[in-house]
Amino acid sequence: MGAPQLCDEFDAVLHTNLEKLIPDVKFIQREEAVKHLTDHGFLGVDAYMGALDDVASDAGAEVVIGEDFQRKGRGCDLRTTVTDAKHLYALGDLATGISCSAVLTKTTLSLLKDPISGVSMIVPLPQLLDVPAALPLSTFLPV
Amino acid sequence: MSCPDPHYTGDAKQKGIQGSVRILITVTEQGAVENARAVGGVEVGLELASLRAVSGWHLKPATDSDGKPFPARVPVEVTFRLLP
Repeated sequence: MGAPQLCDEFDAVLHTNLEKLIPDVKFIQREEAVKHLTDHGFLGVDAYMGALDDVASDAGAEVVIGEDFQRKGRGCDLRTTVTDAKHLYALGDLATGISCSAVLTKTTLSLLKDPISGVSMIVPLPQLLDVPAALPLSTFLPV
Repeated sequence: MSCPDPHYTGDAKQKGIQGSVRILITVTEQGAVENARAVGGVEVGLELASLRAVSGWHLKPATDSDGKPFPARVPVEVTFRLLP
């Protein structure tokens, strides 16, 4: 499983657990989030650089949940940050270390292109050779 | 490349406000700065001063493996510190 798939699974688990904990929870879809960003003069790719925090309150959101997957030392870190959308302060910062390849991998630079503006964001992507096939589900329960 | 510093606004100086302003900018193929937007600024005046300064910067554009320039979105952090 590569990093994108891992993040998708991470996202799905997070949704499921939040729906169990908060029955009437609503999620803002990607297209709607991009529209809120562009309405405020941001680009869609700005979502990856913290701009969602600035528009979330206007979008009617109470919290912004950020997810990040990074190599750390000889392992990998899955990090979730929860930010109060109105007052912009961190409500929680959860991280879990997972074992992943200790084999030397190289970091490559990729371009993430904003489809509307044509502007690209440069993203360093570590090439992971071996990451776990499943996430430790219990990790996400404290949310 | 040309990156003039922003002005420390009088109000922020008087109030002793220090901190960082994070700005997202587009560096065009020509190296000009476009569509600068602040995220999570420390104070409105410093945010505006940063946006004004950064919008006038001229930077080296990003290039692909063939050396062809392309427009890139990059974050910039402007830090304001008062000398003791």
